[in-house]
Amino acid sequence: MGYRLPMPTCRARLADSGIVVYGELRGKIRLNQFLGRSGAGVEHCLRGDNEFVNEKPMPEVALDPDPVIEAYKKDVDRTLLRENLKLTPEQRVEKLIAFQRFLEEWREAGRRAFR
Amino acid sequence: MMDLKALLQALVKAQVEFIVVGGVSASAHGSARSTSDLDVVYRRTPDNIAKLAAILKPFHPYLRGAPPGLPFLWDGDAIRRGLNFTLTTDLGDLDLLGELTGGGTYERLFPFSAPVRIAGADCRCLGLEKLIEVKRAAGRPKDLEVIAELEALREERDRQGP
Repeated sequence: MGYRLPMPTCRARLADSGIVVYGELRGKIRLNQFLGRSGAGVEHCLRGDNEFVNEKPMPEVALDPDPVIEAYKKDVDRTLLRENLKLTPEQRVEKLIAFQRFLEEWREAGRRAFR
Repeated sequence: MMDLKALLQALVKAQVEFIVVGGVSASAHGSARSTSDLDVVYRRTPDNIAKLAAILKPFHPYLRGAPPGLPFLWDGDAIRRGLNFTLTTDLGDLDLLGELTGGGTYERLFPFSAPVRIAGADCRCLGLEKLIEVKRAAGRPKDLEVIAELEALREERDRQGP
């Protein structure tokens, strides 16, 4: 599937969708030029046309039980979830932030220890 | 170093219109999984793009995974020409999404979001049902465990009642 924007001079493929998009290059070196040149980071890009974005229909999603998800669900530690549900949303995110800080300290300790 | 609190507070202080999605949103709902970045869907209006460009610039946004030294220019024009950006900043990794896979734009997601106070900042967070829906729609194998946990969370929440 291809969509053409005005003044096409470079193109990129969206990471997961298979959609090929075209953009323009002009003036200073910019994000799209870097992407067109290196071929890297295509997930960063690139549909510079807001109307185009809004026109895209959303896929229909089946929300019926999925056997794979049901299989994974058996291994979910629900005791953690129940504890989290006792907290407010803000407290839950504070807990996440505290854990991130803890992990960062561990990473730093690891860097020092195994340098 | 991730400073989620400072990142969220900066966006809110600048009055950027955005919806928190992804791992931080899942955490706000009660997920026990950790995350190392902040995912937000931003509104693609000229005014909002300008605010986003201005507020992030002091934190040196740069394309995550890109080699250092590229002439990457962060401004409103770069945001307007692009859509989804996976960035590193001085405050941590930030995914700025103009469109969420399976969920669409800010405008499409807004009715499925709710105001919530996160890390001292009043912002909007995607609802649990929609979060499950977009994860399912994205269809990424890596999300299967995440979806399982979110669905378990919904079951636990519904079991407890209001």
